[in-house]
Formats: sequence, structure tokens, C-alpha cells
Amino acid sequence: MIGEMTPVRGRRMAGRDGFAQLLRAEWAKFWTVRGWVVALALAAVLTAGVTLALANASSSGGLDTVAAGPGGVAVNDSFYFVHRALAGNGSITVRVTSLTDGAFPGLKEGTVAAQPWAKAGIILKDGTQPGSAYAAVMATPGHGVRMQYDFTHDTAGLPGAVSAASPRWLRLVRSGDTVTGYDSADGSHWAMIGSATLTGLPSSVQAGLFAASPWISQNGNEIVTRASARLDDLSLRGGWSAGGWGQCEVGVSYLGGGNGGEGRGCVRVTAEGVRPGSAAESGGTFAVTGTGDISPYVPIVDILGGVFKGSLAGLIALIALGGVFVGSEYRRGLIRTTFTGSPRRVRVVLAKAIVIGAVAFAAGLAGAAIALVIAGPDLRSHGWTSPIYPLVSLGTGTGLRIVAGTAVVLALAAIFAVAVAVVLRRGAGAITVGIALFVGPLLVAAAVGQPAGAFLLRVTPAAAFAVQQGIQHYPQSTAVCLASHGCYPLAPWHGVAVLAIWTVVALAASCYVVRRRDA
Amino acid sequence: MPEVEARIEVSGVHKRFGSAVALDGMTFTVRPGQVTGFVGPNGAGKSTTMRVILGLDAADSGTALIGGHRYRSLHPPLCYVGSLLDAAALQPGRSARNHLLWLAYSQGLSARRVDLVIEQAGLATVARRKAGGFSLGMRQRLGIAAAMLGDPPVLMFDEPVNGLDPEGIVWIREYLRSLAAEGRAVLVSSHLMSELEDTADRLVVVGRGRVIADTSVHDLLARVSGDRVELRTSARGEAMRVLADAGATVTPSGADMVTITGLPAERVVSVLSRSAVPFSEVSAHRASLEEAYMELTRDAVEFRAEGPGAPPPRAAQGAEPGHRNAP
Repeated sequence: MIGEMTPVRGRRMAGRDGFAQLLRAEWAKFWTVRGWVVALALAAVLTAGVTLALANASSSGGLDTVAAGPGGVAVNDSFYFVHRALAGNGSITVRVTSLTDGAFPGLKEGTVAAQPWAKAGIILKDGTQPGSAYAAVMATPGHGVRMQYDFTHDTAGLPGAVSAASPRWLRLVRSGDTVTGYDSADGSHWAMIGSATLTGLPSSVQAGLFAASPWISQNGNEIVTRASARLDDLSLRGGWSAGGWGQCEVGVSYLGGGNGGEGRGCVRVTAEGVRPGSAAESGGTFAVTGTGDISPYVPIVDILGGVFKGSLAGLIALIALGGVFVGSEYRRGLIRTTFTGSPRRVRVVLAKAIVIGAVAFAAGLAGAAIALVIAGPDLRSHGWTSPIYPLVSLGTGTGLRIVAGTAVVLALAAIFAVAVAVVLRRGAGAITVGIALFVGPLLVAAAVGQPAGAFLLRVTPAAAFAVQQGIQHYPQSTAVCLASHGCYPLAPWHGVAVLAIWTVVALAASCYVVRRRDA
Repeated sequence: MPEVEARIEVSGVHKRFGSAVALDGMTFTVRPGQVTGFVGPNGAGKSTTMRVILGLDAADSGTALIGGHRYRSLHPPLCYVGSLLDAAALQPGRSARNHLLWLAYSQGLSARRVDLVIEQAGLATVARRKAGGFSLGMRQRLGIAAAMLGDPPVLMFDEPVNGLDPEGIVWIREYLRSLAAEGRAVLVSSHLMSELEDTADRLVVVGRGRVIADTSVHDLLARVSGDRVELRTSARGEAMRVLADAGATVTPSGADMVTITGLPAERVVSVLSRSAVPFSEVSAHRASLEEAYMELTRDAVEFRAEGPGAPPPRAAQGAEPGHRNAP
């Protein structure tokens, strides 16, 4: 009846129980249940579908007019500029003896503390048009001396605030396309802060002194702030034009009530009662006052990160899949058959995790890629336009990061559900825990706001949604970060790392209990 | 690499679930070429013993070895031990063939082997149907097919007769006998002695987590109570006298009825005939295995209840802790 195989007195052990055949078995378990395959496809469809629905329902409602910096990045570029033409190579050196800051009387009411990123110092710029290339060395109230160039680059120099007792000497040296920044605490010992290569910088540039202070939002009101600096001991070398200093507002914006640089170029404001920026020289000492900011423009709403929250739908489906994949075996008693066939249980758990992780990654990748390809142009047609919202495609680093990152997050979430289901021996429990840990922090963070919300989004698995951020944040830009607007406190891959830690800990716990527990 | 003999050796296995003692020094051997019946009331520890053998439950003490090896050390295990613990342990949405397929893959076996055991178990026509729609009898066949996947020398079946129709019962009895005839060691549990009576070569009778009797079917019958003979006679007193003289134990059991033990029926007839005692009927009654089993397990329970520190009866009579999905 049994026939062809060996009638048996005994058998010699042969072969090894390779991990590959365990993977093959778990993979066969997955694809042989139609409901699970359907759930997987559904996860991909939900990821793409809900994301697209959110994109379609969005409206920018009109964007700020902002300048585009080198490389097309949206920038703030407004400050008070005391300038002079410099032809060819040369340098400018100055001493800053004070930097004070406050709300701008006469424009808006309000009392505000000094802005840590108010700035005054020396700048060398490709003309006076907002968005043009530049390099600058500056003093700030909160971040010491900095060298910044082309908006996105920022290097720290000497720390500490400026005062008459503790002045700072600043120097910029141009040599071809290279501009190098130095600082000194005594005017004789100099240190290089950094150097910028401003490709294509014309021979003749505008250079001189500047002051700016970013506007702030307080209780729903926008408050204009200004910085006032005293600078002396000015020394110029090289091909500086004769005929003294000009002065103007670069990117003047406050007159129209807008909040970004409006690209008006260099304007000398003389309107009565409105004297936001000014400069005066007396006996070699310059008093320069200005408002505005020279920095990357970071919008409050991260629309791409916001619409990709649609992947939550796919994530929930995949958590359910991971929970049920394990939970159904416990519920039916099938786990005993599994462990009878594969007594090394940790390997079984790992094989399950790998299979579910792999299929979840594939579904996430497909769903997110489709979502990005369609949502990108869709968002543009809904008013989310360059330069604030550049088109993010699969060909950009941001696009690849969002798509691959979403797939990784979905895979890790599904693996997390597998691990929790092993620990609890219940699929439903794992699904509840998974959804609570991913969706819960988002809801709570939106309800309680900062800083408790930001804390949750740093330490819970929901931190991983940071990988979907479409807006780049910079330390030197003073933007509000709200989860409800698609902003997360952690850097994209750091958020994924937080989730990975959760997943690894859950897997370790599941391996621990599954070894010790009777099946 | 060592030779793995077709033999299960369980020795001194103790297992507690919380305060309930499930196994209390379980010790027995399943030999090759025999069907060993594993019989005892529900909760006696049969399923727990099988789970310990399979490495699913860890014994508190004692060993359970397959041909001298721990189950965990067998690679791939299903090619050494085939088992059916719970026929209901199936994913309802998965077809019978696919159920066997993943199990085969986990052992490095091919789909060809799957089709072979499906054929043997008589499931060829339903192999591609979802297991969720199977009757209990079909599930038992599927479970047996799974146990046979690796063509193992050692087989364990927990209550395989449960839910089978008469045709299925006949099939499985013949199947188990044929497996033993091939030299395999076969352990079959049941809570009903009658299910094993015609199948088992040996019986391991258990109660309260330990072995009460480990014997052949023949010896068990002889040990429990001898045969008795019922006699109908109009001369009861005369008959009792001559039979007692011949060495029998005689008790009246009715106006014209006598029960004789210690003397076979043919000797009763010859003694009565030689003494010219009239009788109208002589019938021999064999003690049934069921009666023997009842007697054994009852004694065990009584003995245990008198022992110091014995657990409450519920521990042995109730459902086994930790074993869900018990049929």
C-alpha cells in the first residue's frame, strides 16, 4: 500500500533542514490562501488609491510668491543691503560690535524676544536680485558666527553672541569662483570657517554689509522683527568701485503685506512712516538695520508628505495580513503542525517575518510608485507649484526616498504584526496593537500639539512616516513643524530606524517566547 | 550519522500545567512492527505524551526518544516521525493538496510525494477543494496523508477513528495494520478500547498521567478476569456440587441458573455428563476488553485517590489543560 518507498526498520539521518526550504514552505502557505493574496493586492491598491484621493482633494489655495535660488530651490531673500561693486578678486573685513533685535515698531505691534537666526555681517552677492548666488559671514544672536552661501549651506564659526566687550571680526575673500569666510575674536588671529564655490559667479559682484531678521508667527499674527547692528573697522582690498556705498531693501515684501520675498529687487524705501531698513555711517562706524531672512523657504504644509499619509490604509491592511498570517495558525492549531515539521521555532518565526516582509515591501513599492507617478502632476494641477513645491518624480532623490521608504515602512509594520501575533498567539490582538501604535500617535499628536506630539512622533513606530516628507527642513530655517501638515520631527531615515528598532525588539521577544513556551 | 530505529521510548516523563499534573512518570515503549494502542480516559495524558514526544511540549523531567534521538535532532523530522494530533488543524481556505505542499516543502520533499500520499489516503478527487469544506472523516484522511508525507518509520495518531464512517473505520484499521506489517512502529491513541481491540498488538493503558498496564491484548484479557460459563439446569444443587468437586467456583445466578468460573465450557459439559446431571443450556462468556479496561482504570483511580497528595479527580477526568481543539 505504501509501496515504493523503503519498508522500514529504521532510517539513516541525511540531509539538512535548510532555511531555504522553510522560506519556501512559508511562501507556499501565503500564496495558497486566496484571501491573503487579495489582501496583499488590496494593500497596494489602497496605498495608491487613498494617496491619490487625498492629492485630488487638496488645494494649495494660492501660494506665497517666493524667489527661486540657485538650483531652483525656494528661498527667502530679503535684507537691508549696504553695497558696492567689486570687480575681480578682493576681500572685505569688518568688526561687529553689537547686534540687537526686536519687533518692528510702526509696522506691526508685538513684543518679541531676539530672533536666534537674526543676522548681520558681510555678504558678497551676484547682484541685488533676490535668489541670486551669494556667500556671507554673519553674527547671529543665537547661533554664533556662521558662514552661509546659496541659502542651503550653513557652517558654524565662533560661538557666542556679539557685544562691545566681545566683538567679532568677519572677513570674506573672493578668488575666482571661490569665496572663503573667516572670523576672529581679536582682529589678528583668524580662522577659516569654510569656503564656497559659486560656479558662474560674474567678475563684478555686489558686496558689503547687511542685516536681516526673520518674521515670526505668534498667536496667529505675523510679527515683523528687525535686527540692528553696529559695524566698524571696515577694510576693503581689491577692485572695489569708487564712489561710496549704495543702500537698499533686497526682496522688499512688507509693503505689500506678503510674507516672502516678492522679487522686487533692490528698492530704496522712502515712504513716510515706513522706514524698516536703514543704514548710516558716522566716523567709520556703520549702523545697519534690516528685516527679512536669507534662508531656504520651508512651507508650513508638506503636501506630498500629507497625501502619502494615504499609505496608512495600505499599512493597516498589511498589519492585518501579518497578524492573520500568524494568528490563524494559532487559532486552528496549525502552528503545531508547523513546529512538528520545523522544530527550530525561531527559524520558523524568522521565515514568516521574511515572507510577509517581502510581500509587504512589494505591495508598498508598487502602491507608492503608482501614487507618486500620478500624484506628482495631479498636485501641480491643484496649485502646488514650483519653486515651493517642485515636481517630485521617481527620478528625484526625494521621490525615490518616499517610494522606497514607504515600502520599507509597510514591510516593517507587517513584520511587527507578525512578531506581536507570535507573542500574543492572536491575530486580532496583533492587529489592534499594530494599528494603535501607528495610527494612535498621529491622532494624539494632532490633538495635543507640540511638544508632547513631537515626542510621540520621535519614539513610536509612527516616527517612520518621516520618510514620506516631501519638504526638506534645514536647521537654519525657522519653519513650524506640524504632523498634521506632513512634518515630522525626525529626519526621514532616522524615523525608519525608530520603527526598525521596534520591529527588531518585537521579533526578539517573539523568538524568546516561542522557544520557551509549549506549542 | 546515527541510525534511527523505528521505536519510541518514553521514560519517566513528568509534566505539570500549573498545579495540574498531566504526566506523572509516563513510561512505555512503542516497538517496530506493531500497532501499539494508547488507551485511557479523556485527560489521562495521551495527547500530552504525544506532544512531549514531538517536542511541542517540554517535559519537566524524563525523556521521550525516537530510536534513541530527541525529536528536535531529527532532520527532516517528518521523514522519521509522522503524526496526526488534530485533524481540525487546517487553514480552511487552503486546498488539501496545498496543505500537504507547504508541509512537503518544509521537509525538502517534492510535490510528487504529495500526490502519492493523496492517492493513498483516497483524497485524489477532493485534493483541490478547500479543506474548510471537509467532513471530519476527510480531515482525518488528510491528517493521515500528512503523517505519511515523509514515509516515516515511526507513526503517531491521536484518536484517528474519531468521526470516521464505518467504511473509514475499516479502512484505517487495515491501513494501520499494513503500516505495522511494513516494520513501522505505530502508536494509536483512543479513549475507547473497542476502537483498538481488533487493531492493536499491544496496549498501553494509561490513567492520570501514568501507565496502568503495558501488555498484549491477549494477556490483558487473561489478567483481568477469567472466562465464565453460564449453565441452565433443573438440578441446580446437584450440578453445583459436582462442578465444585471438579475445582470450579460456582455461584447460583437464578432459579435454574449457575455461573461457573475456573472451568472451561467443554470441561463443564463432560463433568455434568459423567455425573448424569441434566442441563438444558451451556454458554461460554468471554470477558470483553472493554470490561477489562474499565476495571483497570477504575482500580487506578481508586488507588490514586488514596495516595498522599493526590490531585483532585478533576485533574484526570477533566479536559487536558493546554490542549485546545481536542476532538
